[in-house]
Amino acid sequence: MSHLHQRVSALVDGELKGGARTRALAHLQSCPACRVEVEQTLALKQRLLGLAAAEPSADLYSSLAQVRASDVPGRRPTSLLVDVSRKVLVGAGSVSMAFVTLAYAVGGAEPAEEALVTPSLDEFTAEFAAANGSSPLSDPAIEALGSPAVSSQRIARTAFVNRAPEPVSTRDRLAVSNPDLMPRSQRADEQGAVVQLNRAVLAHSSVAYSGVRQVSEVTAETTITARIAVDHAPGQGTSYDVQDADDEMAGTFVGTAEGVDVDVFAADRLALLVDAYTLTISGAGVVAERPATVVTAAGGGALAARFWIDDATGLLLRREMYDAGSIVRSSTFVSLRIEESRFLSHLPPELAVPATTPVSTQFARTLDDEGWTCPEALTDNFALTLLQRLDGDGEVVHASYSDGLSTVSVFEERGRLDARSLEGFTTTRVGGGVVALRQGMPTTAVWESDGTVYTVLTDAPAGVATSVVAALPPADPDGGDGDQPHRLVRGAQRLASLVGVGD
Amino acid sequence: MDESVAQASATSSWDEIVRQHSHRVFRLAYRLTGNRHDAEDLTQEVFVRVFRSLASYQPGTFEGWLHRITTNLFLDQARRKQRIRFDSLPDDVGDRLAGHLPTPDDGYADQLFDPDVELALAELPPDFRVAVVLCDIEGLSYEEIADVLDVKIGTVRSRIHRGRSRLRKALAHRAPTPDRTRVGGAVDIPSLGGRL
Repeated sequence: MSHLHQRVSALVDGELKGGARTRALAHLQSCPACRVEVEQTLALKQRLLGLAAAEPSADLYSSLAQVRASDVPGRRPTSLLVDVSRKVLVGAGSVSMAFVTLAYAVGGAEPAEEALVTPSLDEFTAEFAAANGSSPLSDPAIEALGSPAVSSQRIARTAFVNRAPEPVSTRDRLAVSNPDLMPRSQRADEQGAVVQLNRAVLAHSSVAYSGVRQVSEVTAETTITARIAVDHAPGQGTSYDVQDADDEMAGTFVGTAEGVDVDVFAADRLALLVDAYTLTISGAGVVAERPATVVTAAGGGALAARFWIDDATGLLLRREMYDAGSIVRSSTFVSLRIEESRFLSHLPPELAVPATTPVSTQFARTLDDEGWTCPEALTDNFALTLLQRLDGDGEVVHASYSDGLSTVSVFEERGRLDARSLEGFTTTRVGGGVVALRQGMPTTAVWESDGTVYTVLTDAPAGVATSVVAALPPADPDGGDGDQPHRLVRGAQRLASLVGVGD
Repeated sequence: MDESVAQASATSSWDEIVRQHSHRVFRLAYRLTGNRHDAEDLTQEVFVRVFRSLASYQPGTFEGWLHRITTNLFLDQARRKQRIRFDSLPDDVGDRLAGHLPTPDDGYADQLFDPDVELALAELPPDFRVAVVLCDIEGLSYEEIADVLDVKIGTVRSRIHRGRSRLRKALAHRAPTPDRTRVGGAVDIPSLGGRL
């Protein structure tokens, strides 16, 4: 058994039952690390329990008693209040709630006893961020923004979409259309570009730094900008401080720090990138007062991404994502300090990485046999990079795909979608079925297909996301029997206009 | 029953609700917000909400209902606060964080005053803080917490575990004295088994 992880808390809280508890206790016998964690968790519980109970001030009680006097007089007969408060004080029976659900029940063919599924979006977002963050060529800031701790910001972002562009967006667009590129050499060959990206991969696991990243997301309507203070210590992890609108820290997060696993992933991601895109060195630039080499990734003749790689350290200083030739996201250091001493003490490992602890393709086939959708590639470019079953009270399969630039995480659960849990989503008919969609970072789409609920999270540009999502089983029709291939085509077309904000 | 009797009866019922539940709601609010002022505001808001919703309240666990209203209002507020900002970094974050810390003249420092834990708790992301507080301070089971927050048990488990991991890390960084946080050392498995 590998380490107990979440089961430590569950064990300490008495929430492990039967065999799971027996196995966990047996594991403790042989694992000092988990024993320490259990001890520390117990000590922590004690400390929390020992916190002084705060007592309310005397005024509070009297002002609470005033609540009923000051509240909307005459709107409710007082006799009703008497009845109701008696009901409260007696308190028996169970709460019945009227659930507002989407119109999935219309078809009526499914057995009623099928489980209702509520996608655990926070958990999924965390898994997505972990999968995404393991790539050094992905933007570490995206991991911070995708963290469940700032999940509410995704909602804030959605709200921001309707705002007029802030002045900063103009500057950003100008900078993008006229980057201070100076011709340094004629187009170097692809090998040179790969060498540069390799430096970025190595730097991720070897260079300690602290700095401030500015992330901008450009949509047809506006540009959203966030600033994130990043502290990176190779092998230990990355901490992010996201600034919110009230000048307060929206949260501090520590990113993944799996050490050698990250390096393995990194090499894999670079391989995917090389496979999927044409890479060239396109010039030189300056980011945060540091000279950099610019690497361009293009696919199908269109610009897909640009990377600014620090000449001195190899760090990825700036990253831009493009969709159909237009910039959709940029992330750049506005200030950066290299921690030289830590750099020296953390020399990069050899690129000859140990054998991967991989996602076994055999496992994928087994899951496939069980009826889960986890092909080894979603489109030509997006390859399966991670496959896992999530630990939880329901069975969830997570298949993560990447083209080296973006991450697409697919979560699958058996049952019927309980759509009342989907806050902040817009629902739209897609090829006869219903798909719930929430734009943001990451963009989330949820639908039900043939007794399975699919939740897709991605940071890919809209156009790319569209083709990837279209490769998955289409949403169920909510009435009548559609012709499957036909529906798939229509679904794909519909999704294209849905996901593509600017289309 | 004439109008004045009904009025008096309503008043005393409300008083009774306030008397029975205000301390409990305040204590939860205090642990969630981390300071007296916000806790009183939150408590006030909870009772306004309770009063307005009494008509729609269905018999059930009143305390569970209060938990739900309190945590939901708290999370709503926390989410409203978290907006992405457009301009530069504040340089007085430390000052403002310090402003949230309990001060000695708040009048409760005579009990088990543990500023390290209070600060670490206050720094937890709201979702994690709520889960840890409901579990460790309010003593709810995972199932009850899942019900209060309207999330799955797996999510509850994950939030509690992540929240505690962060707390342990934060407390380790604050260089606790040896008697505060035990680190390492052999664990007596039989006694542990008895405790779990």
